Parts: sequence; C-alpha cells; structure tokens
Amino acid sequence: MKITQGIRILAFAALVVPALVYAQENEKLLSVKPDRCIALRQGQYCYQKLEFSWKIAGEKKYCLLIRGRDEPLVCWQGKKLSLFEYELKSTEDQSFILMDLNTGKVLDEVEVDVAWVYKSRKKVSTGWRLF
Amino acid sequence: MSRVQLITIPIFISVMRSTNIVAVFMALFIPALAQAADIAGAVQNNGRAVDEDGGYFEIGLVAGYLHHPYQTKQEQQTTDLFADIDASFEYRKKGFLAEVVQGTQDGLNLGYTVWHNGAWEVDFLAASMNRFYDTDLDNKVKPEDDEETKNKKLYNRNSFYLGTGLRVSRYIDEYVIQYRLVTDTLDGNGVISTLRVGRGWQYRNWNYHCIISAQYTSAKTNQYWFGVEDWQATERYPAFSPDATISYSAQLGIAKPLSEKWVARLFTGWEQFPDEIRASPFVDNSDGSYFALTVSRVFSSGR
Repeated sequence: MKITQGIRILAFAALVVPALVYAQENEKLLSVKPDRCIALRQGQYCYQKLEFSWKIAGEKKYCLLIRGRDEPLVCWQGKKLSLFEYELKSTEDQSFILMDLNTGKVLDEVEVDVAWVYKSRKKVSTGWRLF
Repeated sequence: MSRVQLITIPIFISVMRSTNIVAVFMALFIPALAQAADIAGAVQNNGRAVDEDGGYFEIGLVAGYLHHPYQTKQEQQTTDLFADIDASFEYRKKGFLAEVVQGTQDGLNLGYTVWHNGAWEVDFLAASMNRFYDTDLDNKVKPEDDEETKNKKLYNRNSFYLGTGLRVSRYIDEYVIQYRLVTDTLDGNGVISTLRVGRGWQYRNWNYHCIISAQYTSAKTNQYWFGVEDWQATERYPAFSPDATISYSAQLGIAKPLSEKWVARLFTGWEQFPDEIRASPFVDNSDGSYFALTVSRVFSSGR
C-alpha cells in the first residue's frame, strides 16, 4: 500500500513540477495595453497611448526598447518602476522588448499591431490609358 | 446648384423601399470617406491621388438635419431632421470607376480615368448622376390641366440630372483642386461646371477635411430645376425663367475609426442659393445647410 502511495506521489510530482516550471518560464513578463492601433487609411501614421507593465522579481537594471532601435524608451532598477506610458506614432507594427541590462538578454517581447480601416490596393501604372 | 449628398444611400434604400423612385437621391447628404477621385473622397484621403485598383463598400446609419430650400415633393422627402440607412462605395478597375462617396456633391459617378500621373488626374465621366427622378409621379403638365392639377404636377417635378463630361483633378500636397464640366445627356437639361478646392489633414487618428466650391449652372439647367413656363404658370407657381448662375458652397467633415471595421463621421455644410434662384416659386428665401452624423461598417478590399 505504501509503495503504491509513493508511486502516486512521484507520478504527481513528475507531472506537476515540470508544468509549474514551464509556466514560470513562459509567464509573460511584459504586457501592453492596448496591443492594437487603428488609423483610417493605410499609410497614415497611427497614434495610440500605450501602457506597458511588467513583472520582475530581481533588483537588476532593466530597459524597455523598441526592437531595432538602440536607444531605450526607459530604464530602471528592480521594482522602482512598474508602469510606463508611451505615445506610439507609427505606420507599421512595432515590437517592444524588455531587456536585462546587465546581461543584454531579452526577457520578453510584445508586439503592437497597426491596422487601418481602408486598406491599400494594387497600384496601377501612371500615364495615358485606353482600356 | 447641385445638391449635396448627405445621405448617400438613401438612394438605394429609397429605391428598395419604394419602386416609385428610380434614381432617388442622390440626395442628401454626405457622410463618408473614401479614396476616390470625387473630391469629397480625395480630400478625405488626405489629398492623395487614387492610383489603385479595388475599392470599398460601407453601410451604416445616418442621422442629422438638412435644410433644403428647394420646395418640390421629391426634394423635400429628405429634409429636416432625419435618420436613415446610409451606404456608399467606390470601386476602380483598370481605369474604370464607379463611386458614390459619402459627402459627395456630385452624386453617383461612372467613368474612366483617361490619364493620371500622381499629381494630375483626368477622368471621363460617362454618367454623373444626382437628385431625384420618380417614374410613378405624375408631373407632365398639360395645357388643359386645371389650376390644382398643374400645381400638383409642378410640385411633383423631377430634378434628376445625368451629366456626361470631364473631370480634372490636381493634387498638391494635402490639397485637391478639381474642375468638372458636364452636360445633361438624359434630356438635354444644360451644362454644369464646378471648381472645388479641398484639403484634408490628420490630427492623431482624427481626419478632417474641408471643401469650398463654386458652381456655374447654365440657364437651361436652372430652368429645368427652378423655372415655370408661361403656359404652365398658375397663381401658386407664376412664370419664371432664371438666367445662368454662379453659386458657392462649403463643407467640413471629421472622420474617426472606431475599430478596424467601423468608422464614425460628422459632416456639416452650406450651399448658397443665389438671389436669381430664390426668385423661383419653388425656392424659399434661404440657403441650404446640413449636419449629419454617420456610423458605418466598412468592407474594404486590399492588403
């Protein structure tokens, strides 16, 4: 009986522990609201106030950056900052990354989509036309 | 004196609701946005020339107020406070175009882009249609009609105008200058020529536009809309023969996306009725004006 119980406990641990570890590893550290910006016509700039928040336990230095740009939007240490507002102005989707400044490791990434009501269509050639 | 189309769609809706009205509308007001060669669409496109195949269709609700001093049965069906279904569309393919843009003052346009280079565009308008034509309304005045019958028939008169001609557009940054010259090919009801200047601009996700217009209306067209022949004259509608006129109008509009599929718009405008026309027994002593709010679901082709 005791052996059977021991096997059950081990089996439970074997299933649950990795799941918890997986959940921790994949927990979203960085989030943004809203994650979509809507402009009227494709090609126009889209404007949107974004609110970033993050869940970080350590006391390291962190930065929030736009992917592809060197200059960070904001940097802070530990839990001194947990929210950041940013005015998006863009004609295309933008990715934002949370970085550990000491190691240069990207801890998490979120994307803000830019969409339009009136989409671009197929361009046609210029000049005279006769059908 | 073309009538502003505030409610682009009542056209179609009215047609569906009442088979009497064949070409209804093109009437009322305005509301919409679009990438079109119609200046009402071009300025809402921030002055960009249209050089793309494809289009969009949109349908929604419109509510507002329209004051139109043209007192005929058909014209007055859509005045004062109103709420209705509103729709508009625009489609281009290989140079052919079909458009009825929210906010248009030109109505439904069917045509062909003959030449364009991004800064200039020349369109042949096979049919530029607006105002009303009701086949079921008895409006053929006969000399033998009594006074009351004449009054009723005159009040029932059609105002539908089917123009054929050219439209030339010049795009300069966010400005659009558009000249249009059409002649009525349905019943030889004269020439209309318009010069419009518009500008569109964006502030955050709000899109604004304004259009000011000057329109030449031939004496023949004015006679068709506002005149009364001697033999038709009654005490209520005395004989009246207007000359050609030049009139002015202005429109302001705002559009904002509510989501990727929905757009809200606000239009307001003024249309001058010059003294020459105010002397008509069909016209009140006032200018036209309108205000409309629309919310539309947009179906847009494209990437």
